[in-house]
Amino acid sequence: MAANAQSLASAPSPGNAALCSQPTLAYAQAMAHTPDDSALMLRYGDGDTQAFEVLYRRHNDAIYRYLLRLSGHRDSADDIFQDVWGKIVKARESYRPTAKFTTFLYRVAHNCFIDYVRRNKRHSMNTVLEPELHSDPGESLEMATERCLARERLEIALQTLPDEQRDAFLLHEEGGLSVDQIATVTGCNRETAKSRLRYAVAKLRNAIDEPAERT
Amino acid sequence: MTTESNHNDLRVSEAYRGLATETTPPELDRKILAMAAGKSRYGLARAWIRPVAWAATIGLSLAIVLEISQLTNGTTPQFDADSVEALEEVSILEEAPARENDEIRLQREPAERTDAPAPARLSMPAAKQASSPPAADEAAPARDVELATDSESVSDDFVTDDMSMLREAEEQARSRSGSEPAAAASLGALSLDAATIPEKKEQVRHCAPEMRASAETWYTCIEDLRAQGQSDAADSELLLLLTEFPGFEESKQSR
Repeated sequence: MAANAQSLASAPSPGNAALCSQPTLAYAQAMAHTPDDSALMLRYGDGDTQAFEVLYRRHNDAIYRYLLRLSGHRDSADDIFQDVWGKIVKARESYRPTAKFTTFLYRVAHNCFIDYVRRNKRHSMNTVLEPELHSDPGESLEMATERCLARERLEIALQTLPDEQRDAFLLHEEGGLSVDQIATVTGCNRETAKSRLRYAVAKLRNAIDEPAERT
Repeated sequence: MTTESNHNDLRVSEAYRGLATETTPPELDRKILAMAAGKSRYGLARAWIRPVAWAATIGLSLAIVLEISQLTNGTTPQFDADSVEALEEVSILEEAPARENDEIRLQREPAERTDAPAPARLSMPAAKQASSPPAADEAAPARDVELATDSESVSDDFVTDDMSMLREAEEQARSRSGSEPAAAASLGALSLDAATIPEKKEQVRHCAPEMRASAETWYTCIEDLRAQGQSDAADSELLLLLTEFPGFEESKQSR
């Protein structure tokens, strides 16, 4: 059942094939399935557990990475992640598809993170996650090293971003949310969300380009 | 660089995608899917619990309402009528000669004092005593009768038992002491059902006891009363006659 659900979650739609052939954003896959998310949630509300599994497989990794980058701790991310899905499960009966499911999901995740930070006052963002190395077979050692260093710099830059900017960037990258949706999730106005995202992207770009500029 | 390109930088996105390759730990996946499945089962169960709870509540409420309405329709009016009769009887007893037992009077006084429709009832032992072999004193059935004014202690079953026992006691008392209007009257007043009406009417007897010895002579007396124009008295006597002799057929006699 799990394998079936996973294949359903990851099966590319015809519209998605074109997106996959080009450089795409991390949220492209999630966006392709978005119209069905609400229906799946409603089916889950009626007791269809398989629908929930499909829904979960679509969003679990993105939500996990969002929380991991926000919190900077695996343990914290695990706790918040469970909390988020617990709330989604709890909301199955009261859920009404008034907005995109992704917006709803990331709003829950955002609120859970805020609650977690409030509960754990000593929460610090100093931990830098170790970037996982995935080198391409045809890539030279020098290029692989450079790529690894760039990712490390990006990771550091991401962790040093102000919380609001990091949140906006992660919502954009992981959730595929638009500026309006980011504004909805974070509870600010559109211009603020846009500004936060712009600053975040600019700082990260500078972090990536930093060694090149030095040379 | 436009604003749009500022927050859609492909290089940053690509670098981030290369960096963010973490996946959810499998144990977390299992935990959450198990939780979702468990909650879903509970949710389905809960979907049944609510209607069932409502149905049970409505059912119980209806049962209670029906029970109360049956009590109201079935017993309360009798209690009211009986209590009125009991109060009337008390006034009769007060005028009655001193042979009326003081105990009865003492026991009836609380019934007079209470404003609420206190039902007159026979206690179980009293009813049993009333159905016991005849005592020397002819007023014994009346003396044996015990009034209880505590309406809280009245239960339906008990009242039903009392009524049947009381009827038996009245029958026996009437057969024993047909010429004792006071005793019969007091017994009749203490009855708890509509059967008390004939007994009450018995207080004013129009036919002599010797005429009542047999159905034929009693009916002759009734015919005489009719002939005299006392049709009310004749009717009441006829009612009593039919009560005493259920097998009596008026049509045969009139022929």
